[in-house]
Amino acid sequence: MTTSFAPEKSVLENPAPVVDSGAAVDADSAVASEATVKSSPAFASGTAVEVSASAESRTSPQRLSSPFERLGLTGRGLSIANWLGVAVAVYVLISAVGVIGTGFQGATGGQAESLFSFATNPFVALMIGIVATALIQSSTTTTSIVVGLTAGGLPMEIAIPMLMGANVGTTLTSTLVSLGMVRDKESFRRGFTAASIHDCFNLLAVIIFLPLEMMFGVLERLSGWLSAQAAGSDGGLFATIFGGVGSTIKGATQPLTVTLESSVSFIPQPWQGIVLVVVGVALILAVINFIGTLLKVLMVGRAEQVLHAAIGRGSLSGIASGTLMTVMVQSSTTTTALVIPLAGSGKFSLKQIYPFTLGANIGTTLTALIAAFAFSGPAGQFALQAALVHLLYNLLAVSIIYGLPGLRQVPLRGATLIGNLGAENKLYVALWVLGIFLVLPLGIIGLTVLL
Amino acid sequence: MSPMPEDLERDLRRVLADADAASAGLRAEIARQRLQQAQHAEIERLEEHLASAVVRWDEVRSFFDHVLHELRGDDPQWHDDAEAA
Repeated sequence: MTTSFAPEKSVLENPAPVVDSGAAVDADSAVASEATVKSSPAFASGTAVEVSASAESRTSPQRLSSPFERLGLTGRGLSIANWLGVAVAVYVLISAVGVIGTGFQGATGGQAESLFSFATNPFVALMIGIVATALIQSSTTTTSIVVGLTAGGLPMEIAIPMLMGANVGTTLTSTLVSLGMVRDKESFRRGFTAASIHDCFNLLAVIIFLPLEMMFGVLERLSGWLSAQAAGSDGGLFATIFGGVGSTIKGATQPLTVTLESSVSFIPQPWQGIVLVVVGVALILAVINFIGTLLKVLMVGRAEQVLHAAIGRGSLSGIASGTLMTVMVQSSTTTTALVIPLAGSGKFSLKQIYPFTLGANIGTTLTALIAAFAFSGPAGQFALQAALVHLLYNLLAVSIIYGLPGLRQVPLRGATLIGNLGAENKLYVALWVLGIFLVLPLGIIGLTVLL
Repeated sequence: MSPMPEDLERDLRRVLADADAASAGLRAEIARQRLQQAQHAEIERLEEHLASAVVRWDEVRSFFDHVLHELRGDDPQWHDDAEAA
């Protein structure tokens, strides 16, 4: 059984109390009985605790609802409408990514490298990824946009740090969700710590992989080789199959793409391209949210099964369940935000939440791979390469950071420290949120542009 | 009453230690089972958690208002429930 969450401060200062009818508490696995325990000492023992009624911010249980319920649909009809909605939204998503590629190519006139010279500094590209994702609140949207831009000519040296930044920026959402628990100190400590573990992991991944990428181009080389195998003109059977699927999807999405592009054809370049990019981004934003809403309703039952199956099993099961959950709802934001109330309840330890959160990092890479199907030919290969960078980066980060026992503890300790600081003084929370996601990125971007 | 032979005493202590260890193991297993049951019960509320795990901008704003109040040295509008209790 995994050890329950125990803030370092409380562990050092307070011994474990006796709970559960006088039975001695096992520091690793004991659970509080019907008594509601709110204080740090009980939590310090590694005891999972019940949240008091005052910590629950809502008295009536909330439920998920589909937009199609407003049409009066129920039962099987509602389910069919939901699935059709997902299919149409995915169609629009792929079309929108294609429009972005076309628009970017038109707007830059093939001069993307010189136009984006300010972002060839990988730190600037990283910060653009962070702040864009923090503002959009969706790494799926950012990565889909980057896939489209890459197909339109954005250099891979700029795209890769942006994708890394998207990983960091997406952690803002779960942090903001945890702020809703601030009125109950211990719930907030648990929730904010759970949110921070995602922050700390992704920051550590950047610290490790960005220098490696700058020095050796690991991700670019590996993804380039893989994309050449899958989409290259001289590839084998796999490339043929992949090319066939890509061409089919591109052909299916062509009508909408052509319609959007021809609707702005009267506008001269580069404005036409800029308008197309803006339209594409807006469409992606809209459909990503729509897909997420529908899939939450459709997949909540299956998600429950996945999570039930994962309880009591090891960390690999936790990673797998996080991955599956994210694939099912097509949103890492949903998965990582979900852990906040679970952590806040006190029934799930930080050690259980940690691998689940990492699974979300992996699961979210599927959407970028789907988006890459908007392109074929050389553009398709670049788009696929960008999507593979995202996948490889997350797989390698989880394998190395979580796989190595010494590194695995770093995000845990960092998150515990941040959670304790934040619970004791809310100013640290404000500094963390504003500093990491806004001030630092915007400051670095601004300085680079000005200098 | 004659004192207990050393061997017997040693055996009894060993039996007691084994019983203590078994008892502790049972309690730990019971606690583990209860924790898992609590976790399963929480997963049964997954729909509720999914619906509530969203950013509530009014609460985010309230949070930053509170931080500003603290920086200015004003009385905070709300405080920790535990401290209030």
